[in-house]
Amino acid sequence: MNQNGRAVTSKTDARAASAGQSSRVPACIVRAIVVAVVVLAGCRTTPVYLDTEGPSPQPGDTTTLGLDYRDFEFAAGEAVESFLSSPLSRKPGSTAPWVMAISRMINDTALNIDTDQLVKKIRVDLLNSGRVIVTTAVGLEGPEDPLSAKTRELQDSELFNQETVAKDGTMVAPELSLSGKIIQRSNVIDGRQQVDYYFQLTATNIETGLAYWEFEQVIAKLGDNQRFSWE
Amino acid sequence: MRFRSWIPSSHARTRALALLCLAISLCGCAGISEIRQTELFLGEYYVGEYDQASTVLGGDSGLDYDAEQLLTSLHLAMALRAAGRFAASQTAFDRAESQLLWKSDEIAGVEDLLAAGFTLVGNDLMVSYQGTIYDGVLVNTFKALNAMHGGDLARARVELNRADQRQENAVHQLAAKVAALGGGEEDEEQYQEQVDRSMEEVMDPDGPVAARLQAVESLGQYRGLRNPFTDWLHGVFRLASGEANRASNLFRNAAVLEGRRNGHVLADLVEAERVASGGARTDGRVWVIHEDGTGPYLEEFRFDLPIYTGDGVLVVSTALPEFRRGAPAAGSLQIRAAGQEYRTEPLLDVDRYAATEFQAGYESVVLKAVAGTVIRSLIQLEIQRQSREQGGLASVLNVVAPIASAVVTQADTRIWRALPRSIGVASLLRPADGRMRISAGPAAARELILPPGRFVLVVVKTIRADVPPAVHVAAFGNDE
Repeated sequence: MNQNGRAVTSKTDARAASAGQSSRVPACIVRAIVVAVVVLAGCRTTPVYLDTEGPSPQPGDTTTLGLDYRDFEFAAGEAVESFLSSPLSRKPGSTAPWVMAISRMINDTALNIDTDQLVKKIRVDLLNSGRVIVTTAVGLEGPEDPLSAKTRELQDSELFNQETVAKDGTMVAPELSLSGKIIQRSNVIDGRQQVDYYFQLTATNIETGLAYWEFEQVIAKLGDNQRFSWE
Repeated sequence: MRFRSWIPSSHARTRALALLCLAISLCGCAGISEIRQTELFLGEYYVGEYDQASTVLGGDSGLDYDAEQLLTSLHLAMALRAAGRFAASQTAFDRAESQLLWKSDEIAGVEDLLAAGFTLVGNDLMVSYQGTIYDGVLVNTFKALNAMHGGDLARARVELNRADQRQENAVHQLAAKVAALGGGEEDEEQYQEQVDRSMEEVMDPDGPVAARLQAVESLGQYRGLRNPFTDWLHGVFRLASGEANRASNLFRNAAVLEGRRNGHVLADLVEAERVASGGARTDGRVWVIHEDGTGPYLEEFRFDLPIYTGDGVLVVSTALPEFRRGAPAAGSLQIRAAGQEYRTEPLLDVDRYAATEFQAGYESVVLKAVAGTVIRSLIQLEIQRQSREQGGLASVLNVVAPIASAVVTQADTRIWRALPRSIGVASLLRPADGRMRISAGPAAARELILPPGRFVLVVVKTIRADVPPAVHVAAFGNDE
């Protein structure tokens, strides 16, 4: 007998037993006790470490309807693989790496997520590939690390050995700009909730304005329709 | 005596009574306490003392209260917002939203269990306010506005996406809610005949209940329980973010839902379509949002319910919530900018929005109230009979049961009272001199110097004609 079959049978048996005992223990009291026990006991479990280096998520794996670290790891990994397999991931006529700036990353979902989770993994892998270096001196809302510019103020300081102070005109301007968006679409299908996340990334050649690389990865999840996905 | 034939078994009698007493002892009367707190709050809120109103429920910080109390969170969030304390308002709204994540008729805890299955012999006042579907949409909409006022456009985007998902889901959610309200058949079966006869009397087309239902129906409905203001605000955000295609779709939704052809929404739609079809980017704009008056509320409506006992007809007083319309304050705003005159036009009728959800479940609410009253009355008659015959436990219950019954025959009149009666909007080009003058009814005109920024949002709240409007201004652009 399958699982559903067993469940139905046990429910029927429970009702029969309950009816037989109703003169001794009223069903309402049984229900109240069950509720009280569940509420008082809660469902405490001891936290455990997860293997964050494990295999990529597979269809059918248990997950949340939101996004977790495995989704970011997976999307970032796929993005880097896609970029590195693109012929334009190597600078034409040069062995030097591209210098890349991080542009706008839009979270267009209903989840409060930090898009840096996605970008950081991509940056690490791209840097390790030797084909891209990210500048932290230029950013859409100012430099990620303002100290590169700030240290130029030491050029007039007598306290510092001027040979060790960064000179003007030495910073490297970005050649590529990485921008992206995470989009969410939710649908109800046969009483179940399907949530699709689209990870979209673009690397634009800043000199020409041409998109040198485009990437899209969809992560689709299916769950019950009882709670909103951003819980 | 013939009581035994109406209440089929001693098990059923004990069960019903035990449920009633258990529910009251477990939960106290959360609803009655919330109604009293709301009255205290409104005493300050309705006269424009928003800071004082937040102190009544949340202390000096406005946030010193039980975070799980949804109704308190909703009221505080609106008062704090009107007082310009957007960060605190956002916290209160976050707390409210954490109680509004249900999407369909799930049973998640003891309160839900009581609400779903036990309330035929009790009523909803035994549990804390559970919220409505439109509460959820408006919470995310106001959170988006708060985020825009706080300069956090990434957060505003998330909130608008949530509001959009709630709107998309509202039809399914409403169907699930109506089904859940109509549940409890197992309890009903035992008293079906008596309940049916009483219901027939109550639903008489010429009776007082039907008259009240007709009054609510006359307000009309928002199709799909979708509100045009949320779509319009989302469209404004997308247009300002350079997403003209999406903005165009949202403005179109708002125009269709509003139905009366709000001129400002149509102008925004034309602008979004112009940009979406390759036109130059949108020039600087000012969007004015006018939250006017005090929103709808529920009042207790008592009426006599005939109960057929077999020995005759027993007439018992019972109660239902009656939907009452809110009250406008200024009606609309007059705006003068760059030598031009503008007037806000209504976009969301909050009465109509709340009534859409109220009337969808009202028949089930009536059935539950009638069934509950019939069952409780029959049980009380049985207890009185047992008390006379046996004494003992029955004589104790003879004292307890009428008290419990008095509690549960009150109507649940809880509703989010801090909403406006209507929301109107205006959309105009940003004046080159950065100045605007806004008049609300007979109150003195307010001169505004707009902050720098390509786009500006001006939110004006007029709660009563004799209370000065609360005005909040925020600049935002497309550099998210």
